[in-house]
Amino acid sequence: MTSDLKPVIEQFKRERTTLLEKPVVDARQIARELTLLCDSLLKSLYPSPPPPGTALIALGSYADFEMTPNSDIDVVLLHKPKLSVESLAQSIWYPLWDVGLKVDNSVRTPKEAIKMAIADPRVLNGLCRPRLIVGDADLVSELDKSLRETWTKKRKSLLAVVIEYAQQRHRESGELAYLLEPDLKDAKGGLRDFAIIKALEYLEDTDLLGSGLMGVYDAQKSLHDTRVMLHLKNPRSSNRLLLQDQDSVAEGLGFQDADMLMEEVAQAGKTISFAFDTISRRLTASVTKPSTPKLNLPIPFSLHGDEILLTLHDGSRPTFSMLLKLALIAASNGLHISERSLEEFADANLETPKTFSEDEFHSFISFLSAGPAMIQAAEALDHFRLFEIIIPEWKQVRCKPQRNAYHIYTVDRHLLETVVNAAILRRRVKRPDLLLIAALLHDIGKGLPGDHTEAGVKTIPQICARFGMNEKDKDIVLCLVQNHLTLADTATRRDISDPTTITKVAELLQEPLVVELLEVLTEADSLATGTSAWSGWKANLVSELASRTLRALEGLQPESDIFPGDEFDYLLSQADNGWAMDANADSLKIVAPDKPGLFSLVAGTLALVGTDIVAARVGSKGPMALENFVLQPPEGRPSDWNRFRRELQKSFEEPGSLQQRLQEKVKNYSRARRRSGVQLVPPRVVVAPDESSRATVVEVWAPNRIGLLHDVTAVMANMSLSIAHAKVLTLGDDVVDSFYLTDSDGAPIANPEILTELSAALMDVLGSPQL
Amino acid sequence: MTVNEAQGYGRQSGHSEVYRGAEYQVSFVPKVRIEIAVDDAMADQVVDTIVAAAQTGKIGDGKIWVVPIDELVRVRTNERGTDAL
Repeated sequence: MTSDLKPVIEQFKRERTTLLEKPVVDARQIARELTLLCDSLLKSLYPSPPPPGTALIALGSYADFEMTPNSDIDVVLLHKPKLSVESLAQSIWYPLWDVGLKVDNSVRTPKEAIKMAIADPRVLNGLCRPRLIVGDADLVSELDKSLRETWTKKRKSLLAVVIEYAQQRHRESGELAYLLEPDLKDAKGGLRDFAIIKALEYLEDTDLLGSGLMGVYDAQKSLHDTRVMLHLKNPRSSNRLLLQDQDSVAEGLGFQDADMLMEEVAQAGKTISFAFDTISRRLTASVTKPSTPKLNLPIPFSLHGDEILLTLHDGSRPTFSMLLKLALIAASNGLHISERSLEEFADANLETPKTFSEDEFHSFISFLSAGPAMIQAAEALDHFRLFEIIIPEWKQVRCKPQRNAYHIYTVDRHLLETVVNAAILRRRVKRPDLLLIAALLHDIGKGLPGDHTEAGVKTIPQICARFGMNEKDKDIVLCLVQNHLTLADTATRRDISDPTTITKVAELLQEPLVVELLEVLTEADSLATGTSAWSGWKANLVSELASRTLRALEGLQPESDIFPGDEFDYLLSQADNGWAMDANADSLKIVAPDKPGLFSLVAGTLALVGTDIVAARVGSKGPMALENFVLQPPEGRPSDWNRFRRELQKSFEEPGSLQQRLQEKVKNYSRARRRSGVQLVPPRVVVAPDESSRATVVEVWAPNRIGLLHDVTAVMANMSLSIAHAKVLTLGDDVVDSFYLTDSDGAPIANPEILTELSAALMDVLGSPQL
Repeated sequence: MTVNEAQGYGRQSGHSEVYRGAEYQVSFVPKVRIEIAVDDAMADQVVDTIVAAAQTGKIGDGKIWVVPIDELVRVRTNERGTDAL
């Protein structure tokens, strides 16, 4: 850096720091001031008077006065051909690099810029609406003119490339409105989509954001303000609004809490996404002849390309029945609904009928069963707030975030995804209509205070009555919503071979039809929750539980389930009074001389080698303990059984060393940092004495950590309690461990004092931080 | 002294001062990475020599960093510390 530039740079740094340290009143104003500061720096660096035939232009958010503290300075040094600009470029870029600013720089003639734009949709998007910072304004006009001419000439191919590129980004980043940690820029409905809409407006030289799409400007403002605040609050953040940043960003923008912020962000994402889809579809239709499906639509609907229009004559008005028909035709044929028609419905101020007619209810059920295309139609209706005319209760779940590490969607999208899954699985049940209604409503209570299942259950009777359902069907839907977690929770936390478990589930579900529906609803719900919510192990357990419950409801004896069976005989012959094991990817069998704390030693040693336990059963034969573990192998690699064997031998020989080895692991193990902002379950111990006739069930809820199961089971061993059966359920960052405990005589624990003492000792262990 | 061929980029994201590429693109630039183990007393001289030989004043000239060595062993003779240099 030359010495005469030093004061300029120093002043820029000072002013930038002052600006970023000021209390934030208006995020938009900060973005504008940041932009002006950069303009002023670049003007100081540019020779005065500017060399003829050169110009420095700003692109992207910099051009739009929308810089965030983390934005690149997106600039092009534009110059006439055959002009040497190397030293000019050096005099601008070097000081910027030396200050440590992120610069996205290039040097081009207008012709070169156009060539790049044709080859790369990102450059094309960036070059639209360039802003002159300093230099020859004619060069910018030349670029502007050439760009529009090129667009006119190559409109069809360039449009296809721009849209395909955006869709690829959408596939990679997901949809802003439904993600709990959305990318404000790259997700579908994010700021980059808005930039593309504006670029297309510029290239087409027309107003694309007419009537029904006006809300887009407010949406862009919301997302932009959020992004600026995110970068102000956390200068190291990317454009992803992570759970850990949501509270501070919400506070900075004056929201009551993070949920309110996320609802507004989701709403903005929906608005931009809808506008993007509508505009790209309409422009595509203008360059390619859309293949009009051969469909005879009922009056008053007609088809224009792949858009359905409402064509009313004689001054008649849109009706509720027409709305349902429109949604059904769109969903079952994968068609789009014209936004003008949707606007007509919105303007008609339709009212929810007190009771649906039979025809209306039938249309609605057919709409729900249409499969994946239903979501697109539901979203279009929702954009104009028409979905809540069909179900007024939808308002309470609309754009509702779920702040845990388990769910990936907002509540409304989760419900729609569950319906789609249910529609795909509906042939497995006798009453698909009830399945679809329960899928749509199972979490409807999530927007209400208190337990979501209880809150939802209260609203079900009135919704079902409005649908015109009979009492019997209403009761079934009510039972399904009330018990929508019953099969999943019981299967993963209880011993399903225990007759008491089955009796309890049978009492809750009461009839075989409910069991059949609930089994499919459980699968549809879990699949719509997130990747960690459904596994082959869980599927097997739920199916087994459902079939045992059905047998019980039919009055049949449960299938015999003896543990331990003869599967341990071979291992027992190997053990020869010592110990023996047999392991594969997801299971481990161990036989060893029975002694207190054996389970805890095995659990701790498994934690040492990074293998998680999902379930365990324990039995004995003579002096030998027989333990069977169902495992979740470490991510990305198989369990190292040779190492486990060595470590377990050591645990047997020196039981005291295990704790130390676990501590060592905690120290060395770079465990993925738990995300702040996620609501962790507070540690608690629940004793459920009536859940089994064979043992006392104790549930332990706690945030997960290395060696937790070892610590918990060591407490039980110290109190001479035996574990007959254990299940370990990991829910995001939390675990729920269920234990079937017996006393030294193998009977349920009768003494309440022991249970109180156990609860206190367990809480001590759960309350302690990472080892 | 050990010399490796390496790829990397610094503050300019691998761009030249006259950069004609596409936006957002980060380019890895071929570099040479030299590791030299020397006695503390020689460290400054080695750094100065490299700077004198490699400096063009343009971007991409590279970086030098000096780090302490806790222990050094010549495998053949089991000599330790500066004796092993």
